Amino acid sequence: MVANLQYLQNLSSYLKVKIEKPRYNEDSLCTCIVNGKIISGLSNIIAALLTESKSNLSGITSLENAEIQQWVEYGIVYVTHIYNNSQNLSLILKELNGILSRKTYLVSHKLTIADVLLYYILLNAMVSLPILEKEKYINVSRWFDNLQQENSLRQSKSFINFSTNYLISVAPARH
Amino acid sequence: MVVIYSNENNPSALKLIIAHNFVSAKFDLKLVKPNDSSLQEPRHLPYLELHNGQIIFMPNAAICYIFPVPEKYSSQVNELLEWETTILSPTLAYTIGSSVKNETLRSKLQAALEKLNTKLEKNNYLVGESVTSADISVWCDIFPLYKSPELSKEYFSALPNLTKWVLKLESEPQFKNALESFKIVVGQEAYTALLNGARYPPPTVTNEVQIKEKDSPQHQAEAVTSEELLAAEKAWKKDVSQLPQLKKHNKVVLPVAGEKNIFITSALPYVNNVPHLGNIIGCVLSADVFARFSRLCNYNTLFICGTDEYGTATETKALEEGLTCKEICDKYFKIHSEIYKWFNISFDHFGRTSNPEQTEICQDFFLQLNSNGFMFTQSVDQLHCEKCNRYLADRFVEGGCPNIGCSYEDARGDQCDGCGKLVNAIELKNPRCKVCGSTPELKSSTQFFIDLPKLEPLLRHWMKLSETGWSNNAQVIARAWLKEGLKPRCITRDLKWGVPVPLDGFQNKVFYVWFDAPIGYISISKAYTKDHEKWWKPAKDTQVTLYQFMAKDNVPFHSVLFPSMLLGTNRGYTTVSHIMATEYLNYEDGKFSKSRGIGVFGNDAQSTGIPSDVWRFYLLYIRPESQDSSFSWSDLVTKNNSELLNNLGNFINRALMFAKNNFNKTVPNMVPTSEDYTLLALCTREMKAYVTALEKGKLRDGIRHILSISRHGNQYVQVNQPWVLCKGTEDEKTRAGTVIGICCNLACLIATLLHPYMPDTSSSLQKQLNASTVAITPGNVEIVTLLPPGHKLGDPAPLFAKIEPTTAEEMKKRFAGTQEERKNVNGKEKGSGNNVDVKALEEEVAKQADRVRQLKSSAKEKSVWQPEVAILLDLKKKLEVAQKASAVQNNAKPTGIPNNVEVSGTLKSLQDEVTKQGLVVRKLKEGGVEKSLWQPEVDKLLALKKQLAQVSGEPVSNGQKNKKGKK
Repeated sequence: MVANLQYLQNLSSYLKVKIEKPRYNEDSLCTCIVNGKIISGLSNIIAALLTESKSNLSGITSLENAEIQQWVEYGIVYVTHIYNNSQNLSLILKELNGILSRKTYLVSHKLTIADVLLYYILLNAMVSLPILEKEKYINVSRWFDNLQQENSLRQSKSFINFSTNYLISVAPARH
Repeated sequence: MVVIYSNENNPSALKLIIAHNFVSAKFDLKLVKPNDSSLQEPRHLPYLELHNGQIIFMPNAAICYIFPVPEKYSSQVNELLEWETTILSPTLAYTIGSSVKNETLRSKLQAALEKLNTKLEKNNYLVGESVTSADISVWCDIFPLYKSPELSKEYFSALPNLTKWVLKLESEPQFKNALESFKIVVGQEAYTALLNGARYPPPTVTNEVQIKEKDSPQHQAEAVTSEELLAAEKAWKKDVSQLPQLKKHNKVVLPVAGEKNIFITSALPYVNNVPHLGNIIGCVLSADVFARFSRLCNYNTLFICGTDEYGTATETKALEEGLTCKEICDKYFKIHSEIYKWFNISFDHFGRTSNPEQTEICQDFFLQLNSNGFMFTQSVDQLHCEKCNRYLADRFVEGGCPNIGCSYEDARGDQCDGCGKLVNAIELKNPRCKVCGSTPELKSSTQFFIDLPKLEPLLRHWMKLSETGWSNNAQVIARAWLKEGLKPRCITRDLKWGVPVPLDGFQNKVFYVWFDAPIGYISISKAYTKDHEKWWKPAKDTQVTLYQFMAKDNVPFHSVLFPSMLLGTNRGYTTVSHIMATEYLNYEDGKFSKSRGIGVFGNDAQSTGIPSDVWRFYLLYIRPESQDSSFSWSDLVTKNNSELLNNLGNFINRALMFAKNNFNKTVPNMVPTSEDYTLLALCTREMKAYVTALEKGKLRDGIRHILSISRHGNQYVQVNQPWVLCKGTEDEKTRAGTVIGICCNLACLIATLLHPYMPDTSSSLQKQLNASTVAITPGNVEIVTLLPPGHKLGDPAPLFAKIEPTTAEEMKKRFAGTQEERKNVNGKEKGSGNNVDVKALEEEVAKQADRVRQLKSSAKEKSVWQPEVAILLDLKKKLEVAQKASAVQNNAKPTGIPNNVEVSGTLKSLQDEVTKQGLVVRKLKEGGVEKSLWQPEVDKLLALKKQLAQVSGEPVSNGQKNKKGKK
């Protein structure tokens, strides 16, 4: 749960909008102060951050916005649980791999806040994902690798290696 | 047309239907099964498929899309919907829809409903003055709960506002109509459908909660079948004399025809470094657990390992430390053996590959393979350094990376650290000798190659038969190698440290390390017994099963190269039937690294004061079995305190203390009832799972089954409350006796099961129980009466000690950075005058800590150990001061490049002076004297150092040889 606040911080520094006093309210929803207003619920906070930053990461049509809402919900209901046990992780990666097999971005044909949020949630899992697993979930790897090319998104973190030529690293023919 | 896909009975489907009703839109409804493979990813149900084939699979997003929320309410509605989807719906799905009964979840649900009730106190709708998505979503969630008479009584009786709201909405046409078109069976079934459709990830449950979870005995009764109960009862009536006794081991273990013969090897650790925790769990520790288990099963078990000593890396290390190769090997062999000894690794033999047997067998292998036609020679271009008069092994060359796009200047001859790609040493740009720096020349030299393509058909055939017993990653890696096609591999090198090639014209060459290393398994077993061929070439009627443990980077050698060699000799050698490969263990989310010195090393573990059994437990608990895992200090502390102390230790200690205080250290008379047999059946189930897991080498699971047994035990004690019973009537007293007797028996069972994982703990527990180890019969796992009534118990004492959470922080700090850095910070460098005190102090602290721990664990009075604790604290304080002082001093020193060269006699006197002066300065500083007093002395010291630097021609850091040269 604490991790959700971490994602909030990531989004805030990515969108360059300051948030204050991020915490959980009595209903276990994240809440924080954006531009002087107390806002509760991740989707509300994201909406506020997007408005403040004047970014073009929201959807254009109502369908696109519904899809974004769906991915934010999916992110907090499902994806954040990947850190609880390894089964959850492989389930989620499998689902995402299927979804991303026909897509470059989660919503429409452009980068939206949905991609950004899931990028941050998945980040730590991807860092420690064994190379064979990366190959197994090749569509997730491709999507993730594409996202991490953007410096402002990656922030100070280093690139995650998605080279699929895994034998080289797994089994060098020398001691 | 828009289509709603849903499984039957799923209340979430109602949400989509009601939303459509509100905007009077048409839709199709398709009922499907949750596992239907034609569904659209991610296959959560229900979902909405739009005209263009796109889907929306999160119900709330779908409702808002169909039935948009008025702008002014959107933030309130969104907040409620987020709460609904993250809290309310998953809690309902798990509390009502799954078979797990859990108190925390129940109260969470209760709280959620109360929150809704309060919200509806003054309002008719959740948000605003009319129905919004929030009402639809929440209503559909709780409607089946309200409609079930029992559940309604349980949850709704004190919630009038919520009840009113549910009924009011039910009567609205959009809701009524939806309920007619989509039937819902109320109560549990609806929530099972919800759970199956949405597939929510399981809620995280803490330990304490699980204990409460099965409070009622009826619940346990549900969990076991009547056959299991009968079997448990039958088994319980047997006593320990009917069990096979543990075999006494002969001095030398040899395979016996008609019995199970288990041959276990652990990957040979390379000698040039101290093993870190990742190495330890990857091979030796895993193999040890398996070996101990296999001995428990009365199998003839041989477990060998040894250090892999030949090769370039040893030569490099020898140069670095200014010793000969032999000396390096001796030094590190000792370090390795000591570490494994401390970790209680039960090798039958821990040998080394530089033994004479190695030369003999290795040469024999080579000659046989050669005469069987699996060898050929070819000339190879290699870099030769004139100045050093030697061919340069890959690691001895550096230069510009030849890979396109990488401009890294210091690529190694085998791999570029800049881009990570493999490098062919002769392709390096501007190559230079790593030792002298001069430019090497390209020379050709004739080398032997093993003809793997020729051996490939043999290997493929063998692998088909053998690989079923391998761990999954081993299969994947081996298959990938075969898929690429095997290539001939060079097996000789122009080096000095190795097994010489026994052919004329090749005398100055040795075998490449990967050719000779696996032969080490054979030579080490030969060093163990002259009869080693009984293991390696067993008689026809004798079956030997070879298990090889390793980390995944070693799989190619054991799955492809070594078997090819064995098959190529055509002598009927035993080949591996179980390759047990682990993934990698990370250190606090980074990587363990031997070469860079990151992480916790074998000898560090010893110095932490945490007993080796706890280390074994934790490493096995996080064994990277199916994916990489991470070592974390705080997790180590948590697992020790929650699993070992609160669960396992608590259960055993409770049982034994109770037997001591109320039954005079004797196992009381037991009259088991069906409830007790239920417990035994549950534990039998865990024990069966334990045996199966261990037989398959799933060591990580095994440990969890032991913990489950003690968890069952804790619940059992909690439910029966023997402390109340023993004060009651005669019947109740007998009941208390039964409960405690069964608990003592379970403790005795645990002592045996724990043996592979925590041998010290297991034997001290056996001492407390006054029992001995019995064998496990994997074919017939059951719980018999191990300790019959009247059995005299020993003295109970706590098995585990609490580790303070602050320790995790301390350790994290202490082991941060690289080994090199730690040394500098702690002022531990060899010979540096000051660290003598630090080191001595550290040792004293460790000793004192041990003493305190012993005293505490022997359950003596506080007054006995309190003074010792005071001494410990005092020592710690002193140590801290000393460490600080040394850190200050180290910082004051000019840092320079450490010299690799031995310092000659004239320099020595100067060095001595510097050291002396250093002492003077330090004493002054430690004494807390003012700066004005010690400054002149410091100046003197600096001057001396400068002088020394001039004489030696190199900047000198500390007036002593610093052997660990760093480039």
